[in-house]
Amino acid sequence: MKIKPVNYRDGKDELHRVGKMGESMGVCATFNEKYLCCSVHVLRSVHNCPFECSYCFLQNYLTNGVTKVVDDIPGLMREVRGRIGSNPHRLFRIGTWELGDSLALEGSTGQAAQLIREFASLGNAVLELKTKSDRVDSVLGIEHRNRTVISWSLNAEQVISREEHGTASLAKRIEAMHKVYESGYLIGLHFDPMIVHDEWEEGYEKLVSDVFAAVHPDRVAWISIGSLRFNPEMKKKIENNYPDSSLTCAEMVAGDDAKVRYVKPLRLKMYKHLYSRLQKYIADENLVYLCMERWDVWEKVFGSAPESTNHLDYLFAKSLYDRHGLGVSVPLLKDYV
Amino acid sequence: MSVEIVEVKDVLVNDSLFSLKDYILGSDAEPSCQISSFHSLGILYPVIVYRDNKKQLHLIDGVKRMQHAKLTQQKKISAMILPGTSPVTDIISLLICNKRHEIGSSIINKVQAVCFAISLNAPEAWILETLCLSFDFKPHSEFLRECERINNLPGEIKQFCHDKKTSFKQLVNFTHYPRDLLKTITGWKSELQLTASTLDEIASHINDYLRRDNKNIKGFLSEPEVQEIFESSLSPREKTEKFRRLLYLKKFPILNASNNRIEKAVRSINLPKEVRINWDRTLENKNMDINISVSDPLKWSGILQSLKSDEIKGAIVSILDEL
Repeated sequence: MKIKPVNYRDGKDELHRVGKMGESMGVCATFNEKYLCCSVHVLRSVHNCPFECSYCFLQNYLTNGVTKVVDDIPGLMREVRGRIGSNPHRLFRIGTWELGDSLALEGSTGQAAQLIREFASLGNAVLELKTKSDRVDSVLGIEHRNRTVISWSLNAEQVISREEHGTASLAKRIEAMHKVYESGYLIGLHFDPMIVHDEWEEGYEKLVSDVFAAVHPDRVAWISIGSLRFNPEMKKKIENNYPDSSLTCAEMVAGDDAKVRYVKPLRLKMYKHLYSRLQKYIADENLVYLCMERWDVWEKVFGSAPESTNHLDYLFAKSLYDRHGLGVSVPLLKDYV
Repeated sequence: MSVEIVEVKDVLVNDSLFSLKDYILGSDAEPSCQISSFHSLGILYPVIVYRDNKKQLHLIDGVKRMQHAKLTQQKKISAMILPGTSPVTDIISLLICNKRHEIGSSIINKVQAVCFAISLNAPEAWILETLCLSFDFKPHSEFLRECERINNLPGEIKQFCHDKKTSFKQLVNFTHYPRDLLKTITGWKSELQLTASTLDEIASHINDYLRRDNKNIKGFLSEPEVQEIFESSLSPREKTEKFRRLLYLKKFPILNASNNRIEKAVRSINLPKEVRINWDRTLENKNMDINISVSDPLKWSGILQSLKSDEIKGAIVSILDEL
């Protein structure tokens, strides 16, 4: 079926089910050698999102904004099995959130629930469902065998209400997180994108304390920290699509990956602040990482940095194996090079 | 198609549905050879008009013939009448063909010609597939909306864009700035040396600064450093450079503070004059370039000796820490 192209905003209003076309699995599109990347794999099972985050790259990325879900779970899983089967000693983290929200459309599609069941039988892969929604009820009773991490993209309430239009409030996200936690799932926490706003220090401090009032850090598979970044062309798009947003007037510079970010001293201040608050709750074993940051920023925030992107991928596998028994055998660095 | 003699007063000229006067910039300044020929030969060809369903006559072609007829107090004029059933796309094609030189002289004129077609309810498919392609535009799904936003820019900025032959991308950029800001900046064109890209940069930095600090343009203009620049006797080029520097400082206060600290640290270590230290002023890359420029072989070992000193080694480490 041929779908008439529409812009990304109009495309949010209707959902099309489409067949699988070409390869659906790849590596996260933000990979760049000057920055440390977590090497997560992505399964492009959804295109576009019903939510409207003012900073979302989709407004500048999708050539056809029609919301589509790939209605071919067997086809997707054939590709996943083929890929992970070619490297059976390596643990693959596979997310469905690259071009949309993993759970926002779950009420209409049931796609996440099907994927959870499929991944439950895989030895060397973990599914990551990342969301800004509270739509978790349909996945609560599923036999997941720890092979699915349900993650939230989290932000201070002031940022959610001003910039993440249509998403669940912080309280609703945390309530949903608690349900998922009670259901035995591993949780992923993404404090990304951190955004400068009035009293941001207090906002992020409260966010961290609210999250750890709902979940125990033992069940947190990973924690990411990142700050606002976007392609320079997005600046005008954001100003046009969201004239009330003040995101784009901050002090930002272009990096080697051609994205603009807050200036480094400001990023460091934000990361150090958030990480110091996290340290009140988490254990040394909790894996915390920076999303698309430079080595020297890692050094300044954490005191150390992985040697390479592959090394970080290995550290993920090691953490998941040591803490949660995930993977088929003790991970070896050579399998990640 | 009939040719009739019509009353001059019955022909709508400026109020014609097909008047391009609000859509084409720069044509008034061009010399006209017709006017003198009218004086010697009279009006040789009929004007072209469109008769609408209410029998009103809208001038399509012949503005100068109508002007001459009015000037010489002629009561009647010969007119070729296009009936109300004439396809609007044909009329637009005729008009644009007549004005192709003026329209082709700037992107803003091409954009306004597209908007002229939109204002006449020409089918979007025809505008996109025929008109836009004839202007060398490669339209995308948002193209016509962008044209409409450009057409709504203040007159002063549109004239500036016509004079400077501004690109389509820059025109779109200008649509993102508040009208009062654009009007203020184009008002500085005699004081500053403005090109389309410097105007864009100045507008972008002021706009970001005002939004970030919750200020308005009036408040910005009353800031002492701004007033000092505009009241100075500097040349437009010097004023522009100074103003751009000031805006950069306002836009990047954290970056400037860090760079100032590094500069101070570099100055304090008394490097030999043959040695220069450079770093990435965006602070993104933790990297320093130490350049040695030497022409006298006798000075070489002395320079190396000073670089080995504990003072300089320690200072370089602290500068790298700042990066």
